[in-house]
Amino acid sequence: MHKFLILIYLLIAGFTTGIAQDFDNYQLLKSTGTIPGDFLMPSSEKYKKEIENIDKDEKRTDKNDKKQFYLESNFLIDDLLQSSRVLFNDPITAYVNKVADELLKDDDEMRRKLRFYAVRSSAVNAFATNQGIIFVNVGLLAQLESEAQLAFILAHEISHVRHGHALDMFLESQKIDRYTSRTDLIKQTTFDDRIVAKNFFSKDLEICADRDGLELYLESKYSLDELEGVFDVLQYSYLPFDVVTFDKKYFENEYIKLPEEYFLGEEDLNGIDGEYEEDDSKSTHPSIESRREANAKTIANKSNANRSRFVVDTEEEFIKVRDIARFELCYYYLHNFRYQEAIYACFVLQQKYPESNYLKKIVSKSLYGYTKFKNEIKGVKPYSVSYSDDDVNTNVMSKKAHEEIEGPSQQVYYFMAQLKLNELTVLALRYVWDACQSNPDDEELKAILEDLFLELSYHYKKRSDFSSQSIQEVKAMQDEKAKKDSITKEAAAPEKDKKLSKYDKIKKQKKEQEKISEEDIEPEEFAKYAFRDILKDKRFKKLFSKGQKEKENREARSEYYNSSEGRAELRKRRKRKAAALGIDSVLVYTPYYIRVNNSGSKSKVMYLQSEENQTKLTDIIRKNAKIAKVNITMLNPTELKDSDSETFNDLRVLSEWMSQQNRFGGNLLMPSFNQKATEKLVKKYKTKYLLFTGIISIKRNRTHWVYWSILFNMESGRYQILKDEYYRQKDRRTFMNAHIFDTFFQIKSKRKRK
Amino acid sequence: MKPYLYIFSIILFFTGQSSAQVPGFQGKRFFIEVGGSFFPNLFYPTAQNKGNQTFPDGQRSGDFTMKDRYELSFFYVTGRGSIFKAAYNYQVSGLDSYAFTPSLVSGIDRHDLFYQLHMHDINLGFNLYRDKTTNLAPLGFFFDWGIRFVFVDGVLRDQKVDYADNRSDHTPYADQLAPLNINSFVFMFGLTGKWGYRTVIADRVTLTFGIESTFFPQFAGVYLSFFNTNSSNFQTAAILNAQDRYLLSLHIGVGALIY
Repeated sequence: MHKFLILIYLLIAGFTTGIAQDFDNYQLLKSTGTIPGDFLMPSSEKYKKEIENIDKDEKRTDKNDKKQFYLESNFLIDDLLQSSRVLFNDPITAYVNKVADELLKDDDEMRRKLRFYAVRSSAVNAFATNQGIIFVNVGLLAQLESEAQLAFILAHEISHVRHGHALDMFLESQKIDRYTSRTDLIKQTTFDDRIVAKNFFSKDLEICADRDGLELYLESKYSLDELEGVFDVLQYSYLPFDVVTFDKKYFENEYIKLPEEYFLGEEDLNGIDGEYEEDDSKSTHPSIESRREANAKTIANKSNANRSRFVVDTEEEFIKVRDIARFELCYYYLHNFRYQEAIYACFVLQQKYPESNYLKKIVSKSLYGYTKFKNEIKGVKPYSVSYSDDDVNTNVMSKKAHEEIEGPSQQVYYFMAQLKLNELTVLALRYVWDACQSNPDDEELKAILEDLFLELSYHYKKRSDFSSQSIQEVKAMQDEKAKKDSITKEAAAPEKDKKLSKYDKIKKQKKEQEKISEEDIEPEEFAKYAFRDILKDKRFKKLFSKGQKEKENREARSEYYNSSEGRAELRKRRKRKAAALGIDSVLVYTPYYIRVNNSGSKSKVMYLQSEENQTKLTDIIRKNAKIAKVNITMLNPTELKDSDSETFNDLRVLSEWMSQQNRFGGNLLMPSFNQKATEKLVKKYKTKYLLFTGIISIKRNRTHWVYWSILFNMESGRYQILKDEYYRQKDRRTFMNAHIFDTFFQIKSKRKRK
Repeated sequence: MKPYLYIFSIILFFTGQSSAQVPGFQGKRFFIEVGGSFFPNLFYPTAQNKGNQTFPDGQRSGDFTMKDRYELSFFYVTGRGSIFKAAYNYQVSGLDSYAFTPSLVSGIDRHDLFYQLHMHDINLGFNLYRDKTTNLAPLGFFFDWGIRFVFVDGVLRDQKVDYADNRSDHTPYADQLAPLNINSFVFMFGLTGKWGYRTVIADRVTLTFGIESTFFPQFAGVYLSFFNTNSSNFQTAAILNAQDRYLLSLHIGVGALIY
């Protein structure tokens, strides 16, 4: 019995004292345990609670401004809380809470008021709300050097909450808006001036928060030496979380040798200037330099004795939490299609975790995503949506993307932009092939590999386009041949052939053909030598021909739909207003409802009505699904109970999946970057179909509404737009019933047999 | 995530799409409506002999009168934008007519006749919904195209006789008159159209408004009649009367979604 108790104790201790994380097989963070009340209480209730505290004797305009603030802030914060970007009961949030406990150990009242959550965002930032919630971005954690630096940032945010700065800022901006509109001041001032006026107050608040935050910090045991570092973090926040020279050899191996000219020389790399908001007078925040100086003055005479960089936990534990944040960031970059940043972040982390499968997979997916998009953008496929270079100049796909980048990560941008499309495809395929070799059971990688063979088929028609020998071997062979040609040109007499058997001749001819194909190869084209070890591999052969076949099928389909017969069929399909999918059960993602009042010059979101109608819409969906006999599982954060943290995580997976598929646009048909998690949900909810439906109700002179219903196939990424309609009428329950029933009817009904 | 971006950014991808069967309102395809059609009555008397051309002598009564017709309709949703309709209509009109019979003495007796015209009709047609994206049968604006079979039965309600001998008594004494021999039944075939709007006002309850018209090809033929008999006089008058009743009316109906 004793042994059993000890075992239980050890297990509990193991969970509570250390953060167990296997970085080689890293799993993305999940929210666990009981869902905090912040996530569950409806925004309208929070709003009602807050307006009860408004002093009745205040001026009417002030009262209205405050009401507006409570309304907007509660709904906006709840939007964030329910977006699944916020984490709770995870190692990062737990760590932040521990540091907050330490800072506020003498202020119980304040500690009880505050809630801290980690947010999946790369922005190096933390922010406080009037309601007492402090959000700390994963991007900030990834950049910090010590627990003390986190403590200072938290102290700064706590002081924002203590003084209700968010409300002050809102009220001040309302006053400025009102004043300018009433006196027509806007015509006499420039737009810039107005912004500065609006944010001047914000600058004051920042200085105040720095001052008060520092006071709180000084009361703690945290080291004063770390404060300087906080401002460094802010100053260089636009850089990746570490600065490590990107090595050309990163993508090279025995079979891939990249050309020197694909990389910038050291002298061509942009230096790190760290210039940040030079013009203090026009900045929204006080400049980092002035904040640094103000802090330095305050602590000049303070003693650093008995202070430490790490108070609540060890440095090792901090590094572990920071690494978790960095691992999270890798996926975050990928999710946001910031492929170069994802690759560079993985490169940095691989210095420490060279065997991490997670990092290899992120790089594989980044190369895959980049390849797919690049091939699509450049119109490699006959049916792709091609864009001109001008369209993509502003994003990371552009050839000039590297120009604005500082630091060694510029090399990744430059290199990836230099790769020709065929080289990029080959590089991605080779990388994923190798990753598959070390993870043979990984289904995600297998699917990516197969799809990359399809991409390859648009650049190479036959395997013999690749060399089975190395550049050196080919060169040696060419030299040898040249020699032989000059010496024994006549020796190769035709009569020699006469002595050969039929089979010897065939063999000889084949050999000649091989030589000829290798002669054609330009030695500088690294892509042609990239598969020389696997060119005759059974699996390679199989996947190569599968890719070719799929390409042929697609081209045949494309050709058919361009023919008069195909066009006629398309016209016929377009005439049909409805689908008959014959599906029995679907997963329904949070129904979306927003009401916008567009009657004046400004659009105003009617938050309370939107929330009320969202509940109504949810009921209508349930009712009509039942009538249409479609089994639905509704995943809606507003309906969660505090024990539903698993569902909360599922919502995040679905939200990310839809967001990625939306970006893929239906033409690419590629698995999402966290397809494994999505497929788990397919098994869990026993359906592969996900319905996303919503209404935007716009009130102008009369009410109009837009209703959409999109049914996704979570396995293939295909989707069907069931409804995408604009109605010039009020979104009355009757119409909602009719159109939502129609959605489910289309899902349920089966194809008519003619 | 900005969900509304989905609807603007997604390119429709065709995946084995085929037409769905009929949805109806929440799956209810069969419904029944009762309704009425009304319009100011300008040219003929009502069944109660009020309005224009009243009996006797075609005088105007000075009353404002309405034409009214009542309908019982059965609907079946046959498509996303179409409904089959079968309706029965009933209305009563007044008709001031005349006839001549040979006098039993000498000359011709003139009969001023007041009929009630009982019009029963069967209307078959389709409600076609105008714009399929915003209208989904049975909701929204629709055109109703159909045919109408009208059975007009004239029932003589009053009679004034101008006897050939100019007597002051106009009572139709059976023993002093030759028989009228009027065939008071008329069958009419018409083409009908309606533009209307239908909505659901409560659970299972529909409300319909519309403006409708029916044209009878017989109406064009009435002036070509060469036979000036009492029957043809009546029939011509009845056709004109019926065409007037059906020419234009405003419809309102309330219905119930059955299954």
